[in-house]
Parts: sequence; structure tokens; C-alpha cells
Amino acid sequence: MVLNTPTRDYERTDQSLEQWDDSPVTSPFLQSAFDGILQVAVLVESDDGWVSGSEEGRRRFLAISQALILEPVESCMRHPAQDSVDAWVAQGADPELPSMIFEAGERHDLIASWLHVLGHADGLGPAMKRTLLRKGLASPSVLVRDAAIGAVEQWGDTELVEVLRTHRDSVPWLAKYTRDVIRDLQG
Amino acid sequence: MTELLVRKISLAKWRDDFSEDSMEIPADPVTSDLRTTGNRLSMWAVPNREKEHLKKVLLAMCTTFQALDKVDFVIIEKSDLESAGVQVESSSGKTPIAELQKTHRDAVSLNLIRLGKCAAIVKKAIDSNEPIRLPLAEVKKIIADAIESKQLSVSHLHEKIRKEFEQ
Repeated sequence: MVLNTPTRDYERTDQSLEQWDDSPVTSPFLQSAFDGILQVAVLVESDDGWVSGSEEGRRRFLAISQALILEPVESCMRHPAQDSVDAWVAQGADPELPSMIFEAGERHDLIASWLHVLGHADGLGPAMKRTLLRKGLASPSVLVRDAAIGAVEQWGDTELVEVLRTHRDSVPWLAKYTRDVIRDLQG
Repeated sequence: MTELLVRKISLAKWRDDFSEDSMEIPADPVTSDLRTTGNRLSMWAVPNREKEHLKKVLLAMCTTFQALDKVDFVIIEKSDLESAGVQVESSSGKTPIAELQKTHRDAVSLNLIRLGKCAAIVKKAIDSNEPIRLPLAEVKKIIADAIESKQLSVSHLHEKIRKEFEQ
């Protein structure tokens, strides 16, 4: 699915988004974060079926996405949104979560951040892990493919080795990382 | 021979959406991987590129880890920073491993221009050398070995990762 980058079409947003209209956004960083959040929010909260999932699922997805945009993930650091992600996964994450992640906008950094925090979450079902991995590996973004392989490394799920084996990455160091993860998972 | 300096980075952020031949420097990795504190950029000195030294750098840093992940490093030459007008100072590293405390370095008095020069040096080092990545399993093994050899105590680790190494 190809999504157009939404404009600031406030008619499609709810009251919680309208408050942003009055927010002073002065720095380039904040402007970028603002635009990113708005982009995801407009897509998630639209009623035209762009993004699937339950209302509660979309609400949680948006809240966590906002946190991931405002504070990018860093390796070896626990992200402030990790507790929320863990709680959602523990309660049974929305089965449409992979679709939300990969369809809500085209921000590779956000998709990679989602894969990172889900990699650190315990209890994701095998089907969702497989879907996240397949979608991640199919991405044109090095950042996303790296995060997808990293998630498998975190899960330590040997069932996913077969998916990694079929992956032929065009980037040499990422291909080597894939081989390393396969090796480590097989003990 | 010039001193080598190691900094933890996120390799993919420096490579995503940018041609590997391009000298263009993306902004995201600069604002995340080269985050300064007090206009200082923290690094660790190593005598050469041998993996044993990178393992020591990992140990020096690991007490600040709140989660276990793969770790990417970049190695730059101190002389490149100095040639670009970036001053490098020794400072005591915040690590419980005494022998590594004296290997900590800071690029100091950084401003936007000098940080940009640091970023260009880092980008060049990434593009012209083999990427340095320690996969998660290796990171865990290095820390576990250090605990077993009493170089490091489990109590030094962040509570979020401690249980991984408790017997």
C-alpha cells in the first residue's frame, strides 16, 4: 500500500490533535517530531481504512509511536516506551500491529524503532514475530532490515532461522550480521 | 603512531538512505550517536584495532547499559580530530574497572562547527573501514566472561540486565 504524505488536514483529526495547532514549534528538531507524529496520527485516526486494528489498538499504537518519535531508540538503553510495549504485548497485542507499523507512514526510523522495542518484549506470538520479520526484511531501508534481524536476535527464536536463511541481503555487513545471528541462534 | 578512539554508534543509522559513496552526513545519527554532554563527546582510547581492545571498551561501557543489544563501534584517529581543530582530553572514565578508567577521552569545547567535523571524521571512518559489530551473543559472552574472571561484578550492572548474569 502506498500512502500519500498527509498534509495538516485537521478536519480528519480529533480534539486531541487540534491542540497541536496552538503549540509553538520553533526548532527544526521539534518541527520534524511534530510532523512525524502528525503524519502517524492522521493515518491512524482516519476512518477510511488505511490502518487496520481495533480502536484501542490504534490508540496504543499512536501513543507509543509518539514516544518513539520524540525519543529515538538507542542500543543498550531501555526506551521510555518499553514498559508500555511490554504491557501491551503481555495483554495480547493487537493482531494488526504489524500492519499498523508498516502501513502508517513511510518513516523508516519509526518502523525500526518499533522493531527494536518489540524485539525487547517477551511474549509475542510466533505468527506475529514471523510477520514482523518478513515485512522487515522486505524493506528497502537498511535501518529497518537491521532492526528486523536484531529483533530475531533478541527473541532468540530458532523457528525464525529458516526465514533468515532465505534472506539475501545486498549490503555485505548486514548479510554477515544475518549469518552471525543464524549461527548464534543455532548454538 | 596516533592514538585510536572508539565510540559506540548505530551503524545502520549512518548507512540508511544514503549512498555508501556519499559524503553527505545524515542528521539522525549525529543527534543520537554523537550526543554531547557539557559540549564533550565521550570516547575510549585503544592502542590498535584488535578485538581484545574493543572487548575492553565494551566492558568499560557496559555498566551503563540498561538493555542488552548488539553493539556497533567506530574507530577514529585522534590526530584526525586534532587536525580538524578538535581538542581531545584525558578524563577519568566512569567504569568500575580500574585499569580502563585512564583510557577515557573527551573531545572537548565542541560547538556546531566542531561537532560537524567530528561527524565527518566518523562518517569517513565508517565508510572506509570494515564495520565493527559485536552481535548480542558476543556482547553477553564478553560480560559473562568478565564476571567469571572477577573483572566485573554483577552488582555493577544495571538492575534491568543483572538477572541475565546472575547464577
